[in-house]
Amino acid sequence: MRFNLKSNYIFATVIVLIICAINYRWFSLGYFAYGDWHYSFNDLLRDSISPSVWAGSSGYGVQDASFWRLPLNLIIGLFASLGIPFNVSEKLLVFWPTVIGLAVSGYLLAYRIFQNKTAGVIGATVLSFNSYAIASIGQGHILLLTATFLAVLGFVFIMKAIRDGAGYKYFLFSSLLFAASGWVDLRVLYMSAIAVFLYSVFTAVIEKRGLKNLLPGLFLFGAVLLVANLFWLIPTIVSGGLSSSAVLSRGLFGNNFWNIYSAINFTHPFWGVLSTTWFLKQDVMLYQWILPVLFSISLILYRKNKPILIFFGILGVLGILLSKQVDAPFTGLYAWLFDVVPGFSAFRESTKFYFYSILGLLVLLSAFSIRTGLPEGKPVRALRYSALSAVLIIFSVNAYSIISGSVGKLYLEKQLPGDYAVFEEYVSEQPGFYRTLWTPAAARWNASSARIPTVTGPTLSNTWKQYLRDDGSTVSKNDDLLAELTSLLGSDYGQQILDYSSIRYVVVPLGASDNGEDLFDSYEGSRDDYIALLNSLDYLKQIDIGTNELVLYENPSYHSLVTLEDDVYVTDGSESPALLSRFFKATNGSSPSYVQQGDKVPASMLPAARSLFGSPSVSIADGGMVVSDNISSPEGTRGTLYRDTGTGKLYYYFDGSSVTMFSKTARLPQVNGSGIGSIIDGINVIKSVELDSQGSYYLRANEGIAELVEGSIQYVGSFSSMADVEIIKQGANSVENGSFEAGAWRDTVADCNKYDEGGDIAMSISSDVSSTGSRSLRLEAKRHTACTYTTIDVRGDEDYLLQLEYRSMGAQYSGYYLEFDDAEKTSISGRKLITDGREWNTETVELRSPVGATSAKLYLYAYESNGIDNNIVLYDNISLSVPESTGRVDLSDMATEFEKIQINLRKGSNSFDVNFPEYSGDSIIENGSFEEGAWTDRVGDCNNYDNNPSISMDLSSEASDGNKSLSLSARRHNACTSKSISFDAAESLLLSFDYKTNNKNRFGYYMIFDDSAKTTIKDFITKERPNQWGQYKKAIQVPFGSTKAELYLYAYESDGRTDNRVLFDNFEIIEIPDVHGRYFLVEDSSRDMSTPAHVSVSSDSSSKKSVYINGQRDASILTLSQSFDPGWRLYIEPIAGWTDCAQESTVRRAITDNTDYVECYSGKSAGLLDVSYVTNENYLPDEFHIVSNGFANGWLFDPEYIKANFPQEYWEENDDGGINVRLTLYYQPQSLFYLGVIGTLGISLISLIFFACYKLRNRKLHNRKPQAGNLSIRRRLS
Amino acid sequence: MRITIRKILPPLEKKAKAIYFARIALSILVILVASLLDLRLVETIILSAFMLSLVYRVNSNYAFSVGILFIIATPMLMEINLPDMADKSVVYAYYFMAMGVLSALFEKKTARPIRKNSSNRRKGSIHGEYIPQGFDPGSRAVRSKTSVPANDSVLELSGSNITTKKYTGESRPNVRRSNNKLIQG
Repeated sequence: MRFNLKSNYIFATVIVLIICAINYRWFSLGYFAYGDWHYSFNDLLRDSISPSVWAGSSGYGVQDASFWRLPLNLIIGLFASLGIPFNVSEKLLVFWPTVIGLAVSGYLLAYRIFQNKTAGVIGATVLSFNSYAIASIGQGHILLLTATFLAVLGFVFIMKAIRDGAGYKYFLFSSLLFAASGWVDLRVLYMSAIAVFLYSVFTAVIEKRGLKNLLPGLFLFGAVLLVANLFWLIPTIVSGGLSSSAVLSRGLFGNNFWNIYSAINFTHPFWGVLSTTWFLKQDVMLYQWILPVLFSISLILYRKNKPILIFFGILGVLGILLSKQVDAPFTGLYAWLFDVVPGFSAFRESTKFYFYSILGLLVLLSAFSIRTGLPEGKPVRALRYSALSAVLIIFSVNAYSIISGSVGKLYLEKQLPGDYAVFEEYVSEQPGFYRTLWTPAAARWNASSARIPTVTGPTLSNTWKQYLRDDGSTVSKNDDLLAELTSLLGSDYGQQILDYSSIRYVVVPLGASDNGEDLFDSYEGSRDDYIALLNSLDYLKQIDIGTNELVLYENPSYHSLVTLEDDVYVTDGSESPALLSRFFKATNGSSPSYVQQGDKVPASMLPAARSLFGSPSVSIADGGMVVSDNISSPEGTRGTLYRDTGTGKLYYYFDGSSVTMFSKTARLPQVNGSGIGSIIDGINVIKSVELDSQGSYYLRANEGIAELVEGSIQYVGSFSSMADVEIIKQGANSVENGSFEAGAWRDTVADCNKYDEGGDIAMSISSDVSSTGSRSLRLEAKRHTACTYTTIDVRGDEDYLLQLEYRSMGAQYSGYYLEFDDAEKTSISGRKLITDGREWNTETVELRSPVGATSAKLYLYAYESNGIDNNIVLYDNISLSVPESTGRVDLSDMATEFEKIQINLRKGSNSFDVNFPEYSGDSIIENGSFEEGAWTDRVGDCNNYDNNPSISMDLSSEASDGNKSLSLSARRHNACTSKSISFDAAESLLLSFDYKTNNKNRFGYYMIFDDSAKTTIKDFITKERPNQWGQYKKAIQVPFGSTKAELYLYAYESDGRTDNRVLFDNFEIIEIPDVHGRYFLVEDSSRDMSTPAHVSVSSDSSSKKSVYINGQRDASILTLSQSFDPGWRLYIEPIAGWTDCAQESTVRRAITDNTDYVECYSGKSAGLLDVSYVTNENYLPDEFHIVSNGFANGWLFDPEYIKANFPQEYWEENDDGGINVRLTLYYQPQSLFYLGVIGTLGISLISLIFFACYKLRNRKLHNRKPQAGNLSIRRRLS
Repeated sequence: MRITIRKILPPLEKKAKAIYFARIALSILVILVASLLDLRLVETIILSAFMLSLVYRVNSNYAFSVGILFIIATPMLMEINLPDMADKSVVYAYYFMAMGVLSALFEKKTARPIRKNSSNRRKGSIHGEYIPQGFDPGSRAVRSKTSVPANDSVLELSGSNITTKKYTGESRPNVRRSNNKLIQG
């Protein structure tokens, strides 16, 4: 390339000025934050000065998956340490270089190929203003584009190096540019490297320029790239970070968004007219179809005199193929690449591959600037000029969206809300390590650092929601974060969750006052709901730090960065810690921490606790049902069996005039076939409530409400999950003609989704089917949504009970919408899955009318069908009434009592059996072995993101029981089928079935109950041994008020190449008593435990903490409040040379009654010297490294072991027998990082020395006078 | 539409047989690939057409042109509310676009330099540029001796002077052979 700066500088200057003018908003030092681009306070940025492989600043900590970004982070950190705020450094390092870089690199690429300034202008325009770039930048993915311009610049140089044989310096320079691109976004480097490879092949093979000449240069190029990335490659690969990376192990995302239409038009799928709407697939504008036409015409016209266009044509076509992800054509290709090709899993969504398309488009459109090679007559010239005009207009329209501000998002300046500055100032003054919890999610202005990490509501919920239920089931609250947080934090385990998580402050961020962007819009519940939830928690204390709107709570009992505990029990990991915690609270009043044993800590070292009958087996004997559990005891120890003697489970009996609340005593079990055993329940009456004989009564308990059932004992639930229960009488119905006996509410059906004129909806009164009376309302819809409504008089600020009865005839959902007439038009709505179409379903909702409301409009819906059959929904007995409380039973003082029974456990298996003769053990699911056919006529599509499913369902003769089984197969979308089950007054259901898969892909089931909370339970199962029958078994607690459930079976989408096939057989669902949580077994421990007198922690960096322990007599559990990772190690250091930071301590608190704790922040990382930890073997063996408190790193810290296995210089013994030790908690891959840095620096230095010597030798030879003897050498050199 | 078919080999019986069997093998291969990839009839026909276009060296412009037609048809089909047909049309547009670039690649790969006495070169046709034997634009030796400009440039003999001219990469003229004589296409 001959790039004459003098002849181009005017052009370059003009282009840069125009581009800057278009992005004029960014050329200020204002605040810009949107989407994934957050504002960072300097506190966090200064952490980057001390590079750490462990990212401890968000959540519970994790190995930094984007550690390759270290050089960029280091520079930003340096700016921060110089006191330059982020709003300045982001402009200098990212915003301005990206804007200018895109234009310059686009110009150079086109100019390099066509030697034409107009082509350069087109190139700059296309690269700067394509919809992919604008949409990505707007959403905060600006670093992708920063990396893109560096890669394009690198590509310009490597083109020169490869095509022109321009010398090694171009290879070197381009590799440095590519390396810089990778330091900003590794995925761009990945794509660029493939493009360089393809280009080399094209030049060498297709253009027949020979590979031999290229190889040395390419080798240099690859070597420099490798060396430049050693710093992250070594720790990531050696520590197994790539295979275990949460980022790389995520599944494909957005199959329903990315499509061939957008891809072939080189348009981002979320790009509309002059703006983007993220996560909403946009229609392609008509004018955008010009681009693929010009792309093809360019290839027709120019490929012969510019063969390089063929390469860029391939790049464009490849980009289209990949960026459409799984859309047609070649639907399975992307998933296959994602699974098979190393590194491809970093592209969980395909829009990054617009990089290829845009590169291809850039070059092919720029071609219109030069002559075609055909006779340049009027038609050809007109075509060229038209094409150029069209290109300029299309991309100018895109650019206009930036100028006008219509694209919004990151392109618009924001204001830093004052509350966040106050918050940042306050928390940075609070010493020591602690986390902040943001409900529902963190604001973009949150202050976080490795010392003050941020936990968001979803992170907390995902980490702990498995403990919501005693049976350990993962309960979905239909993505209702508020409901999940209410269950978590409102439970008696809530405080422990915050304590274990080291959460000191809980924050409710600003709403719409934060630049008009209300983050509560993305979550269920309002800001007031979250504040109300936190206000209701006794263990939190609201504090005033001088903010206007931001609300802050403090949890004083949070755990420190490092804790040492002696009150710890061990579980096998399958128990619900919430259940065990309640048990310990009930038995000895403490809330001990826990560790998961796995196969690590010797079981006898710590007391082992477990609840029995979590996964019971059931057998039917002469005496009725026997529920059994087996416990394995490797050594045969002595243990204590705890039996619930009365107040663990609540029942009621309603005789029509009174309700009696009572609990039952757990029956005595037989241990190893002997013992007392009993079949008689002891009854403890808690309270009786007399009721009027008139009216309908409901019981509100356990987040649910259900009508009282007369004449049989009904199970309510565990006391532990209820503070109280309340009996409610239904008031007068405010809905006129709620049973439709007087006809429909309206004369005609209304269309509640009239998106065109082709609605196909109907409404009538059904005289054939009704819940009560003789009539019901019938709504049907094939196209659009059929609806009707009535107006109801209400009073403001009043509790109401809304009830609907509905039944489906083909419809999957019913729905309602209630809108009040208050100033804010408050509304509630529900779209309910109809579990059983054969029977009437009841929906009961408690709500509170808004202040100022006088009336409400209630809408009933039938939703649009598949366009073939009508969706018919029947409604009856609609009521809105004011409930009246007739009795409340306070259960908060009901202490659970346990009887202790000392037992001797045999070595090996120990059986526990409880007899329940009143249970039949019959399965309540019909046709469980599929001998009478499939459950449904057709296979269901449970993930119909497009119109190309590849799913099937049939009966197979391969059966585990009988002659038939059900086969579900899925290649695209999820295949599903369902079955309704009914039960009466059930406590628990034991679900069991046989299954067989053709591969290791997971399958699953989903169960939705008909209680008022619509509780759902799901499980994903992975069969480790395909092609063999396996059995699944699980005891599921029935939610209060539920009498029906719908069971869904799934075969999930495969990689697109082969079907995922699952065989199901022998389904059984048996009603069993809820015995889980009524029996506990605690095995005695052999060791005394105690905590030391003094602990001093110095936090050197995110990856390294120095700990000094003074006076450790017995064993204890040392916990580091960072998520468990095998890379964390506890090193024992020589005791000499320790400097206690107690003098400069920033935190001093007592972590137990006996232990004084100090914590300081030295920030004195040893740096490269820490490379010694690569080979340092002085750490506690892996079997001592355990999961503590559900997520953290824990070590069994045993002085006896240290004294026995480490020399005397590693510990010193006190007079009382306790020892003093010096420890280092170190994330070992950090030392590999230093090894990588040494490798990078070392190789670079050696190369430089070698290069300097080579140059020096050449210069000497050149300078030597020509003599007879060395003439040949000079000739060779010339 | 008239498709120009180039017979690339002299009518030697042995080679003709080989080509005959090669085409049969290719057809079987297409069917095999189509069945393995679960391709439908239209896709199979398109794939077959593509493979045959490579064998018979059909100009890639045809594929691009058909692709353009499908691209133009797609929004029209959407406008007249035929989304299913539009879905197919956009996929076919992609097929032909991809076929076009692959054919162009194949054309480029199989293009051969024209003999020195080609009449096209004398006429100065864009397709008739001459590439000297043994010339390698990427090689240092050639560059250092002739000072060839960096980008896409080749030598052209013009009288007694050596000048430079853009290297188009296209070396085969649009000619067809008949009875071993070159005929201007």
